[in-house]
Amino acid sequence: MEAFAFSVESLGASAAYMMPLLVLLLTGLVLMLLDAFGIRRSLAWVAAVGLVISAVWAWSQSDPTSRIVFFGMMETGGIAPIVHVFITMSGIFSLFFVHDYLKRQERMVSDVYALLVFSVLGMILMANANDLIITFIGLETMSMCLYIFASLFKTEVASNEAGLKYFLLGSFASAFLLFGISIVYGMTGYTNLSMLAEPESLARLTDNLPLFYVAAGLLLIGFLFKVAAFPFHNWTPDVYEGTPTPLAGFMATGSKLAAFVALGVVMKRLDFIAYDKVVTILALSALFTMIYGNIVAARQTNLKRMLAYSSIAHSGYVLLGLCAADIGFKSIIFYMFIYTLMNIGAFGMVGMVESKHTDTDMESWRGLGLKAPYFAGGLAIFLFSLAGIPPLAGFMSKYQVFISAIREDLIFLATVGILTSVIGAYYYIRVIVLMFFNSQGKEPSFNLSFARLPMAGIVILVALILLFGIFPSLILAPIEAAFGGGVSLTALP
Amino acid sequence: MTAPFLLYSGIQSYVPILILISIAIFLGLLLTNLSWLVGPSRPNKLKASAYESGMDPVGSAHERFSVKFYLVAMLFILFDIEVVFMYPWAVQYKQLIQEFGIFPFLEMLVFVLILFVGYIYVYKKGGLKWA
Amino acid sequence: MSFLEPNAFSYLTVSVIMFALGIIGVMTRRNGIVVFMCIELMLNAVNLSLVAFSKMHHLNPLNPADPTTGATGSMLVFFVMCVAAAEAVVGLSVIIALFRNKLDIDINNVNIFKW
Repeated sequence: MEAFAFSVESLGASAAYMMPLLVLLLTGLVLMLLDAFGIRRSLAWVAAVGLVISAVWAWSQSDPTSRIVFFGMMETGGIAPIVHVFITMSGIFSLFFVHDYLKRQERMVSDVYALLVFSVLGMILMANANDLIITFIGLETMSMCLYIFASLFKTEVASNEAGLKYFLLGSFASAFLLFGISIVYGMTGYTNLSMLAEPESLARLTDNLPLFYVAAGLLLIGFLFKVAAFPFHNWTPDVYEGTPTPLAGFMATGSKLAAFVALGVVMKRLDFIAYDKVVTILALSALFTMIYGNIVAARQTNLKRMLAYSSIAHSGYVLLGLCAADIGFKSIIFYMFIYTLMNIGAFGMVGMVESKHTDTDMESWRGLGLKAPYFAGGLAIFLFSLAGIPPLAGFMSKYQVFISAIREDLIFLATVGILTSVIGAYYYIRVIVLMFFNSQGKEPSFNLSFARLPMAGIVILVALILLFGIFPSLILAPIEAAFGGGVSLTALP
Repeated sequence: MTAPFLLYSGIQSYVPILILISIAIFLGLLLTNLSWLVGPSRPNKLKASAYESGMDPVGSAHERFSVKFYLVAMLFILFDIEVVFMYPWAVQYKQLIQEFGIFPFLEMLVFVLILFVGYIYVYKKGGLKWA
Repeated sequence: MSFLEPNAFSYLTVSVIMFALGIIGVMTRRNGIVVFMCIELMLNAVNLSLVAFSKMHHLNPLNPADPTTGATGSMLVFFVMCVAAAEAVVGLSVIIALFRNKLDIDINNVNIFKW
């Protein structure tokens, strides 16, 4: 085992690879200053430009061989660039909807953009960390911004309560994660993930199995909370309901993608798959998450809560993928990217018609398809995709996860996954039926004149969902390349 | 985990602290109670009332603080705690300068600059305005 | 008198007790600020264990070729302190905002949404 030595030269070399992250930091600082000096007209555009530059820069550095920079702290090769791009895209697509939503709510909270950029920065740090310290700092950077998103409208009790719940439970969970990191450090002397992956460190972990299970359990509690998996899912619907809708979409996608990748990397490095008990816990969590999320979502009457419960269900599918070792890890990155597209679209569209809290009740959406067929059609595409109906990207992502689970002999879990996604199809399609075929002579009372920017966002998202549904290899191939070949994912012929 | 290690030379090193604590407690008790023990005690209504610049006291002493105190306190915590990163840097500074030249200084400058952006933000947003 | 000499195990014991007290506090207390203080207690419990581990690895490095193993834990402690401060600021702001609207920070009354 060789320590990562410090030298100014290696820092210079690292700095080049850190530029995409530094761009995000600079963008955030510039946004703060612009906001402080009252130049608030084009904050969203500045944020978007910063995110795009960062994503393009990261993409230009993609390289199949894993590359550890910054004295062992960050990973920039391998899957890191593609994860970077996916997380930034989650931020960019949310930006399409945020400005318009805040304007219609008459609460122009201009700090949102800086917070959004900083939370994207935190997510990327967390997902691409090569040291548990960075994982923790990234997670906290991200969470801190998300706590503020949840309590953004400070004069509204609903928003306060969502923020308080998220904050108390979130920091409770990250204390568990931190204790897990501490025990791993105590057992091995390292927090660095590539040092932990060395046989010597792994042997030290296995030396004291009970303590290792405690550490693994604590780490899992922290991560499973962030992804809203079964025993730790309770906060999700309340928090999403109290959060400004487009930002709830951002929360449900970017932060989960980051947490899943971080969990996957930690699992890979600490070799969790080799311990039956840890895999069993994960599998049970996946099982109950799928069942619980789908069944409870089917009983919701509020569209935003339904989407929140369905996001729990989707976490279940991704956990199923995580149980399936390497091939599953690839499939969940694909899954989370597609989920990002369709979920931000769905949340964004709910936000577009929402002018007061009650507007998200499903009853008030009755007959929308007759009044605004194109708008409702767009939402229908997102919902069909979330349900996993074939020509759309949502089907391909589910297919990849289930296939990878079946390949790893997780037949029972995959079967449960397929059965529960049938329940999922029921509640998504129920909304579509309400909008198009079961109007009962009612018409929604929404103001249906939409701003141009969110409409452009919807068109782009729908186009991407159709595109990746028909040509999934456009995304699968880069993911495959990022993993450096290996076990190949299965695309439909 | 099981290998015991010596952090200090044993429990004995805590004895001075124990002595210090007991002296502090004794002195504190003595000084606060001395006047009660020695002084005469002839209370009347005027003496028992709270002193408020010679006026009759208004309201309870246990009123709620203005929320502004919390705001300032929170900002203080934020900027205060950043100093923990400067301690290890300052302790190692001479050695670092010899080994890496001007670089460690610039690094801390960047850190302080980021904090300064935060300060400008707070100032411009009116976080420090008392009125 | 070896049981009087502090070793890594005794520090870990104290840390686990503190952590458990924090968990119990979070579960049972109703005042938002007290719950938050319990969370801070948990973070500080972890800090204690980290410092103890750091000292342990410093005196008895598992990998003598790497002199940094002892320092890692102490470094993480700084970051945890910083994170705890940031958390305190965000948390108190949220609690104050709630208090201004409801004049109450009892978390049992945080119930607009059906759980």
